[in-house]
Amino acid sequence: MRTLASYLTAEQKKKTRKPYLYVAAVDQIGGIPRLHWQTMYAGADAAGPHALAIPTDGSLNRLRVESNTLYRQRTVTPDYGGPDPNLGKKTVGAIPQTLPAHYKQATKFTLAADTTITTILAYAAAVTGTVSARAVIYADAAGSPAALLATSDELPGIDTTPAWREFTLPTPVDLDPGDYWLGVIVPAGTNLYYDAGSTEQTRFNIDTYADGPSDPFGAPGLSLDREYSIYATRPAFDTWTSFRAATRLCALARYGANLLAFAVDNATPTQIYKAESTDNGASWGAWALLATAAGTITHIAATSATAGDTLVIIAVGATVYRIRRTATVWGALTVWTNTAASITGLAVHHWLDFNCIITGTETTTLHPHVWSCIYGDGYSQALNTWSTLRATAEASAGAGVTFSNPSLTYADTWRAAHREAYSGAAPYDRHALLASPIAADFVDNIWTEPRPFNLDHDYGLALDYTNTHVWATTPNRVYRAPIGQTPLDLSADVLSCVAHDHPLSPQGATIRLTNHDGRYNAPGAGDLLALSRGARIDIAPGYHCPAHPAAHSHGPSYYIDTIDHVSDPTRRELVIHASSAWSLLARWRPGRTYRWPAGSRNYFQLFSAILAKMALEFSCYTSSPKLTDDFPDFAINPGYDPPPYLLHDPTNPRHSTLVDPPPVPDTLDLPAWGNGLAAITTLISHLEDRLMAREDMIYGVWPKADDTPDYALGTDHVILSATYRQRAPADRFLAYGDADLAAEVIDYATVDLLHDRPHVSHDKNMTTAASVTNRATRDAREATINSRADTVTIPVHCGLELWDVVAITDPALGLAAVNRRVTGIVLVYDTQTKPAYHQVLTLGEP
Amino acid sequence: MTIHKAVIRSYASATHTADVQLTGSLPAYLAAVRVATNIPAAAVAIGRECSVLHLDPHNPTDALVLSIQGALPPAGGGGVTDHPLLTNLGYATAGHTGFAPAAHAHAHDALSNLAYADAAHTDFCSLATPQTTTAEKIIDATTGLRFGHAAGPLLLAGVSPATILGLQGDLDVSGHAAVGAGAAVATGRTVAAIDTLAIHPSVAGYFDITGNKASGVQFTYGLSGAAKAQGTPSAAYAFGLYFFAQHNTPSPCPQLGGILLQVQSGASGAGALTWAKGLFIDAAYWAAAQPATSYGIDILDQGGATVTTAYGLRIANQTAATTVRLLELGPTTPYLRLAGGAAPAAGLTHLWLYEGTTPQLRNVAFAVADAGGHVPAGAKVLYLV
Repeated sequence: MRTLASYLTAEQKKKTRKPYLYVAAVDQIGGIPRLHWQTMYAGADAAGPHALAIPTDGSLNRLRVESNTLYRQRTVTPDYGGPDPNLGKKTVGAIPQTLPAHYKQATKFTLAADTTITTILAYAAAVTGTVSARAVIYADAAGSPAALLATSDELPGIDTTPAWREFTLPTPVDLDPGDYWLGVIVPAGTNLYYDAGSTEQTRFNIDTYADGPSDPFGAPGLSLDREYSIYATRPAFDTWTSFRAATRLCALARYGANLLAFAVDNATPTQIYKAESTDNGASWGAWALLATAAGTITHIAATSATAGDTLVIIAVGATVYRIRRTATVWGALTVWTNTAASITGLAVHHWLDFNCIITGTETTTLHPHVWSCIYGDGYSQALNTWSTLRATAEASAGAGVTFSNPSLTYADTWRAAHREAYSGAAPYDRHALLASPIAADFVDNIWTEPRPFNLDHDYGLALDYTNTHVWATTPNRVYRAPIGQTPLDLSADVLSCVAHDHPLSPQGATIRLTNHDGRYNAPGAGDLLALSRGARIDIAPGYHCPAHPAAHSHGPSYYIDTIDHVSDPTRRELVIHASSAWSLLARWRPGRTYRWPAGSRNYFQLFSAILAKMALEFSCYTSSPKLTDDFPDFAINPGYDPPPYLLHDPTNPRHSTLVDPPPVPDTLDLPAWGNGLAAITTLISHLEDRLMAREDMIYGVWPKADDTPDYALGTDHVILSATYRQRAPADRFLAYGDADLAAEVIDYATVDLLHDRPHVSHDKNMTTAASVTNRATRDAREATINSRADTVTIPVHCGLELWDVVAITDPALGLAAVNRRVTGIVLVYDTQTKPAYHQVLTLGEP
Repeated sequence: MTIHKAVIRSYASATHTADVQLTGSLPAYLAAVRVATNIPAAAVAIGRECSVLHLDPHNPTDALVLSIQGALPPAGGGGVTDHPLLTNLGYATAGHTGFAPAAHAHAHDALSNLAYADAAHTDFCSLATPQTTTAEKIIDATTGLRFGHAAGPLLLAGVSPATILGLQGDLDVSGHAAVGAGAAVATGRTVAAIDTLAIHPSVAGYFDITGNKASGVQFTYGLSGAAKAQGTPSAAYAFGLYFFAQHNTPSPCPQLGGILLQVQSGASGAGALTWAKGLFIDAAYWAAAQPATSYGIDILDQGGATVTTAYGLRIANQTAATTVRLLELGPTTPYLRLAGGAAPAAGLTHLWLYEGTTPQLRNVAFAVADAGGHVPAGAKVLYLV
């Protein structure tokens, strides 16, 4: 049971209680924010080794190698990068003309598509000496310059040599398609250059420089048919500066405003050189030899801790070496303590430890792998020691799959990428993105199922992040995805909500939102981005308490399956059907065999690994010893969709959009052993533990017969209605293990009633007498809990959860504080024709 | 309990387990799945389709390869189809301590301790009914099929001398080979390909074709082959027959010849023999490109710094023949003829040259000029131009 504030506990018992239901759409799957990638740049820069680092000023610093030359690029405002806006005249006009002191001019240009500009460039020269100037942009009104949109920072030092002068706008300016006027204002005579233009394309007037350009433009003193050489730009990501000749490989590390670049020499590919920048990559020191390896370096990666400690890892053949800088002192190049048959890629990112993603093939088996590995900085791994290699992804030798080009960053959570190539009859070569549940440590090595990223590039993705975005780059691509979005609160618009919470059931919730004013006409876009298919729906029952309005407590989350717009003369609604967290697992049919051999992971770790595939995190409130003591042989095999003839007719009324409770989708309503939910169900059937969902988490609890009640119902928290049902489950429980091991638990009292109703289980993982006895006991306990199925309706209890024990008092039936265990909860909230706010509980024996 | 379609990816005969690729699992295999014992090892071939029964869908140790499909079954595979043939095994023989009683004759595993090479088991495997065996039978871990029985001269025999024993794949013979009726393995012959007659004791390959008894027109070639340049090499060199003889011993080597040829008629070769040619170079055949220069025989320099006498071409006198031509060049009426067989008559030579008038072929003779410098009437004079 979730712990509630005292005022909420008190409020839910009152007859005068005021219902409140918090409902929000969260742009996450499980506990991991969804990434909506935006392509900021798609050019034709040559493919080659590359690197990315974003220091504290937010500038995008990139390296790339082309024809053995290392190039660098620094984009100060990458958030505004994108296609050239094509606003202005980029060619140098043939005719110079002097703009007198305290004059401004503006030339009209047409913008074809939405853009954001950060810079204005004008071709200019001082008449004498040097001059300062500012660039301006005016809106157009009826063919004339009107409102001032932006004034650039002052650009000093314009000399007498004609050149393109770059004026930086203090903040980027968003522009819609249309006409705009670009110009400059000068304090002294300045030569500008033009060619013949359209009728009155350029306007001039007198404007005192010191007080800035007038707003609006003002009456033009002169209008001429000229087109001046002036244009607006945004970061284009296609301008590179030669950084170092004879370079084969490169890496970047950053801390604060510092950047460290590393280059593997091409002529002597055993040598690592380094260069440093202390101003966010604006300027760089000279290259210097850092270390010489024992052989040709095939891969390199680097990272820095926030204080500047830096780790460079390299691969020489199948051996990884590291060199660490502690404070300002570089240590020696030292070999690692692991082995591999080959290394095909390295990535490293510091967060508490030096965390690595390594691709290659395993010794002996030659299975291709993506490994996680830690070089310790004292958090999860001892200082300056290597962890073992932990498999993140694995293929079989001979299957034709290779992994390479990993990358790694810690943005909102751990995010990684690698390249997966398949050489079979229908080959593919693509990148996969993975993420780790937010609360997981890198050492936990739990990752989502790799998700294909729409990119075919031989050198992988480079990843880094700012506070607002994750960035992914190649030499000719720049992508970003927003992170850190806040939930979209839908509470005020909820007309009704029915939410189901049953053990391991995909059944979910139906939520009706008012859309009377069309506010939800475009879900999945703009401010409603989070309200889209697959997004998480958080539901938290609560009450308006005195001094604490809208108090609530988060229950399980749901995931949007369908979004329906309902429109008729009497109502306009948005109806959301969402499935439970278990549906995420039911829909996960892995496209490969997963196997965890006996002894490799205990039950807790198996739950963590499998739930993480769909971005769910696992934890426990209470747990049986077996959960952590036993390490079974376990596998999930590839699953198939049910054949079409087993699916229901799409026109069946069960597909109605407004059925309540919401229908379980057909694909979830059929037995399918090859999905994640089947795996979880099998695992939990081995244990006395039970599972429940809360928000994006899955928790384990160990319900024991002697658990004390968490709450009392039927006394001050009334029971609105009740049905008390006894059921007839199995009464004799046989468990068979390996090598004819068997154990039996008999419910003698029930046998007297029901005669012989055996329940038989078999599991080769049970290899001891204790294990089969434990299983038989577990199955008997399950039957005991299920021997009752009471249905009790109560005013909403904001913290009630599955497997809680409640004490039921119902004097009419002679029940006085008898214990029952919660095995199902249906939350009903309705503000419409028949207002309701209650829970329907299913209760078993404790 | 579920069944998956799958493909065999590897097989371990020692454990009778296979790595299988379940349909739908492109990158990863399920390792070491037990193969049903009624599936013979020979059937567990890589790439074959199979069905995997998961008795526990999530415990791979409780799964098995249930069937293998997509290929013909190996006959007798698994040893379960010929039980009646075992009934004549002498169970009561003292040496067969591990042999199962007749009532359990189907328990083949009990036969594993029989020592085949044991002298007492002379009748072992002499089964009443011929056994048909397909696919490989593993005798031990390193040998596909090994015969250890010392008694019989034939370790492997067909049902009759005419049986063809086929062999697919490369043949690696570590010893010497004899091929043909009457051929015997001999250390002096790497391959003795002999039918009835062996003449020379030390040859690398002896090809003696006397088995050709075809009626009608019969062509027999002792050794035939072709060197065909094909494909698209940057340059092609092709030689139909490439032999050399090498003196590579400190001992004297009185004779060294690249090719030694001889025509013969055997003792039974009584039929008419029209012509015999020690070396017969047939007319060139040009189906496509023709060489810029073509040679029937091209003899390069045979001399050496310490070679006393070098012959480019030496033709011994031809004797015991009605007509002797040591050399004849040109058409039917040759341009040059060198006769032989005996010394020429006085004043004559064996040299005949073609001259542009009739008679065309004229004998080169010596004449003594008279005092006036005249040669006999009608005589022609050779002179240099």
